Amino acid sequence: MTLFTLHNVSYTYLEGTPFATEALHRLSLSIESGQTTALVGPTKAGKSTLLDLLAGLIQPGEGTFLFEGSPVTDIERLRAKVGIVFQSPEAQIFEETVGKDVSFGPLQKNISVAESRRLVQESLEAVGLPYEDFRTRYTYALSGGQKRRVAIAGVLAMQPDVLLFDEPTAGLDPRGRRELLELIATLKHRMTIIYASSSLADVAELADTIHILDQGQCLFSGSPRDILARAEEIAALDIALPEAAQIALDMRSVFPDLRTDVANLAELEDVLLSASIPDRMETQP
Amino acid sequence: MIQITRNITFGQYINNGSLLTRIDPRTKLFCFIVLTIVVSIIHSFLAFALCLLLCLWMHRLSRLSTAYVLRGFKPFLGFLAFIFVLQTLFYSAPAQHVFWRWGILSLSGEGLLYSATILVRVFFLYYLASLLLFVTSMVDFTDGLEALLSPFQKIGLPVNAFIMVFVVALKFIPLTLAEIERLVKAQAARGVRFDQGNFLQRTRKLAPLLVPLFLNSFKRAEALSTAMEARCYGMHRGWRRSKRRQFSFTRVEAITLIVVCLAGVLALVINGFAPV
Repeated sequence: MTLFTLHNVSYTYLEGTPFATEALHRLSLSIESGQTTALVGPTKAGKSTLLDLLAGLIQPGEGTFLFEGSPVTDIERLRAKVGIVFQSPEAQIFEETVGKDVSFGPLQKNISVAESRRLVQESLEAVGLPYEDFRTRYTYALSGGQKRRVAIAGVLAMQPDVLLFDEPTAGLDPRGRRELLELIATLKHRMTIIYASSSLADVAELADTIHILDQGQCLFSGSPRDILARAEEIAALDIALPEAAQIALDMRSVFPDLRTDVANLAELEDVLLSASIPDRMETQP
Repeated sequence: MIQITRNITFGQYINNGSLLTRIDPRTKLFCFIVLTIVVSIIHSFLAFALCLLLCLWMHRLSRLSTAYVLRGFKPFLGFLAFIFVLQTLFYSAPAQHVFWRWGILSLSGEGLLYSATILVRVFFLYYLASLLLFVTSMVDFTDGLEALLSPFQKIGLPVNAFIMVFVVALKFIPLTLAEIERLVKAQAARGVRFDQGNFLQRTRKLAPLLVPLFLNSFKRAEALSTAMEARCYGMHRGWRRSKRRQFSFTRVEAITLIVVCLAGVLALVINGFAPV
């Protein structure tokens, strides 16, 4: 089922002032429910604006925006179904203990304390933080990666069907990044995930569909393999490629026809072995 | 509510290359101070009319869109109306001039006139301040301020430090606004409706914004102070910061100063002779 449909959507910040900047320009794309979709593009591509739009935090200036096939009339319904994790989400933590902060969202919905407790427990366990251990911990004493998990648990506790991530791995160390990607990989079986990133490296394995954005427009879309096959265009947009695809692209100076749609180094090896050896190498002794 | 911060345009420098943007900042600041003093003193409408002519002329020179500048007045109008009503009602005029009285509240011609004067004055001050900021970049503004205040440095006041505090504060405004916007969005996504509830409920909803905002501001301030120390910012003996950019005082600046000062003196003279 199609979850979001955007047709010729434009959005301009500070419209009608000398500072007006167009973040989305006649953008058209659709996002399927139950899938993991990645929005990839360089800075100023309009990724964050698009996520704000999908989360119901802003309204489109022009164009058609459909949620589950109908125009959004009740923004609350959209917001209840769509959760969003912003860049450095740890900045939104404000309560002194983990338990209180995670329960902030559920308690806004006037549910019982027992129910909220259950949600907090579920969400903390879902992000890999044991409930009994972390419930009473002070939020300021957590590590960066833990804070980010607590913030994600705070969004999960709202029980969204769709979860949006805006560059969730920015500023994390390699281990924190790996753990977070593993967490998202487990979440993707439970809900629809939409992941915005400036790098294909994070999403090539995770996503089912990738949309490449630039300057507020959707340039092309496809499966990770379709997208990696166009590595040259991707690299020209200053989008970081996964390691294997980048190596394959660099080796095109030797093997001009080398395929770049490789997910990992093992596949790269296969592609290299089956590649036709260039003429000038054959002539060498 | 969510986009509050992106819609605040008061005092954002617009670099359209007009004459006013190019004039030496010391001159601009000095003229601003002169006009502010004049507008604060005068109470005759004839003198205000002269100031209006000067403002219209400056506005033409600035090449700013009139609609855009007037838009900046909008959030301000309700407040001004409130002040006007209070000023008028609480003005104590001699009994024979009062049209209507109820307890300590009264309505009189003098009261109306007095409040109208204040209203006009506030409009002028607001316009002058916003015009100055529209045509002066922050770097220009602080450099000009430092130059104008430099005599105080000689008598031992820490003007440099004061300007630095001012610059840092100004630089933090857009950062803080961006931070507020981020937090508003994040908490809205967690179910907070900032636009619902009565005054008390709305005030309580600020806690999820203020706590992280202050925490992050302190962190940023600490990082900045470390960075400044790492770049040898300090106040030891013989310490002096030089400037890469030099000010220039040309004929344009001289004409500007003369015109503004003459207009100011003329306004004061008219004010002295005119009845209202």
